[in-house]
Amino acid sequence: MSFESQIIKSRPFFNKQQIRRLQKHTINNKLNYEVNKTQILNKVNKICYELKFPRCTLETSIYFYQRYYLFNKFESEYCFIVGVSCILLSSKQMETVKKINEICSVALKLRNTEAENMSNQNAKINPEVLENFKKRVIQIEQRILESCCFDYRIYYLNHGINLSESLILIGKDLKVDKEVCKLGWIICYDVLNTELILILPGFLISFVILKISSEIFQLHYKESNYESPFFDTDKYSIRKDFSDEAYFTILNMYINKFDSFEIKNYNKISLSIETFMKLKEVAGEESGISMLSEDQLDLDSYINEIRDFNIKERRYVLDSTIIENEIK
Amino acid sequence: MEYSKEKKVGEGTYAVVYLGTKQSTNRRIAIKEIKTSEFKDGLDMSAIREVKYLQELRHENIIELVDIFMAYDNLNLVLEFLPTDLERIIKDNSIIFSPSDIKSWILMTLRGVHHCHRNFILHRDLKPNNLLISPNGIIKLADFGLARAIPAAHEMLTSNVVTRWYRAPELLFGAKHYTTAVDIWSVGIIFAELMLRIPYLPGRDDIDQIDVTFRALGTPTDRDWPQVSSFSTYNKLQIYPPPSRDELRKRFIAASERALDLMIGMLMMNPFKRWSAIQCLESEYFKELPEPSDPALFASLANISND
Repeated sequence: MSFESQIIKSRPFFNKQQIRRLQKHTINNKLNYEVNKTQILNKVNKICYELKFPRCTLETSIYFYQRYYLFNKFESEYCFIVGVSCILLSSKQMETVKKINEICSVALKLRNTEAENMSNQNAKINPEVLENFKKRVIQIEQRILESCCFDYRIYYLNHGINLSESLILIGKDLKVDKEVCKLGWIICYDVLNTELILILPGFLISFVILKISSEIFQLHYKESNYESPFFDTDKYSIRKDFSDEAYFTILNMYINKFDSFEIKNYNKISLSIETFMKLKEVAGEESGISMLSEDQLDLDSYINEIRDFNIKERRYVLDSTIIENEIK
Repeated sequence: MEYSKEKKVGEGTYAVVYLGTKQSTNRRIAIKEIKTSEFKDGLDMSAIREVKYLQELRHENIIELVDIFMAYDNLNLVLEFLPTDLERIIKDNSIIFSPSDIKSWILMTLRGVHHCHRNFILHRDLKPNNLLISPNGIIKLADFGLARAIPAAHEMLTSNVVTRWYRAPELLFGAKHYTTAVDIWSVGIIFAELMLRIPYLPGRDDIDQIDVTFRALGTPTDRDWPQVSSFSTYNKLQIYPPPSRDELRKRFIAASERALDLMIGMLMMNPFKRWSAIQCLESEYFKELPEPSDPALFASLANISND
């Protein structure tokens, strides 16, 4: 053990390069991680649906899951437990609490059903199995909070991770057509599969999602029958490079894997990869958050050092003031 | 280690509190060690709420969350050191306090409550025991373990909040939706307790609390609180008349007319008519003489500490 005490300043968001650096320490096989992630997020979604959790609880669970694996080693045999632990914590954070027994029972039933291809979801769970599962779920809860540096700013609506509620607020504020908002709601769900929620706040992503939905409708109705509101980035103090990052990430997501996402089931207007390719063509040269040089990345110990959870006293702060004061 | 735990000063259901020192600055602090392993549902909601809201709130009349750290896999909240609380002062008969002192304490409490409400946070457990006093005599709201964000109109809440004696009538009726008015009621009861120096509405149990509350302040009717009779428990109630101004004057002998106005405003049965924190802070009571005492005068009270 190198230190008795360590102080870590929270960084709620990272850019893509920083995420890669962090994952280098925790994920050996990125492809395996991505495949697993899709499966787990699907299960997390099913559990949240079964427990009637609102979308914000699901969104927070998925943020937690992805955030956890920035600082903790990915081992595929444990990722289901991590996923359930993320739901438990998220239900508490979002004030939609349910008993751990209920969450774990639903999770185990789902796992058993899927594993054995059983149709009977009412099959009883062995109490001993349930107790062991609960213990393991609880053990991970605090580690998730540590991965987020106990930073509760991520739950705030204006700069937090909440996508769906932001979408509704912006939709109402800009008087966006209801059908456009509905499409936005589906895109919001698809976006949870990407790392965008680790990069940018939900409010900004929702703004861009509505802009994309609106453009899709404009494209479909050839502007004559659909009047899009003006998506003014200044109104919400949104930086152009940030909104471009979200914009192109979402377009690329659909261009690369359209059939893997929920949007393929949308039937109000016809959508395909070509729709998104067309939008990309109209948007011009791809841009986004500027890249950091390798030297800049190398100098950032935060992303290059493996988080040591064995240090006796691990302190988490939100701003530098406390650190600066102590140095003085 | 940056923090040392020197003395255990309290233990609750979900945490143990220690007095300690921040080594780099020698600052006295309190450390709340969250008992994680003992909770069958994992990390306790109170701990989550406490961190969530104290991280957001920074105000002279709200306890400061200095730091958060993990040690030996336990979550620790580092809080500012506040040696005593209002309950101890009320109970200590050797302390004589004046109307100015009461005004000062209520003013500081209301400032803290106002800061919570303007940040859309309900405290939901205001009582003298949770109004801590700093070494320089400042009152600070503490224990945010029951706090939550002001709910949206469609959200259902539990009415099982606030310590019984300080529970607002809508909570006694089991309301599933309530507002900042529940905190104002609690402050009103604390105000009454400061003037009487005994708990104002000490119900023995939840049923008795309803009786004690309405016997003292009158049973609400549909006339002053529309649809109050639609609460399921309403029909079983004994109907008491509201106290006259004169009866209140006799009960609160030392209270000025303006003090009574404020207390009545805070103890309105109808939560929609109950005064807001702003209305309370702007009340004539705080403008009339005597002026509120300088908190520095309460510094000596800080010695009435845990032992």
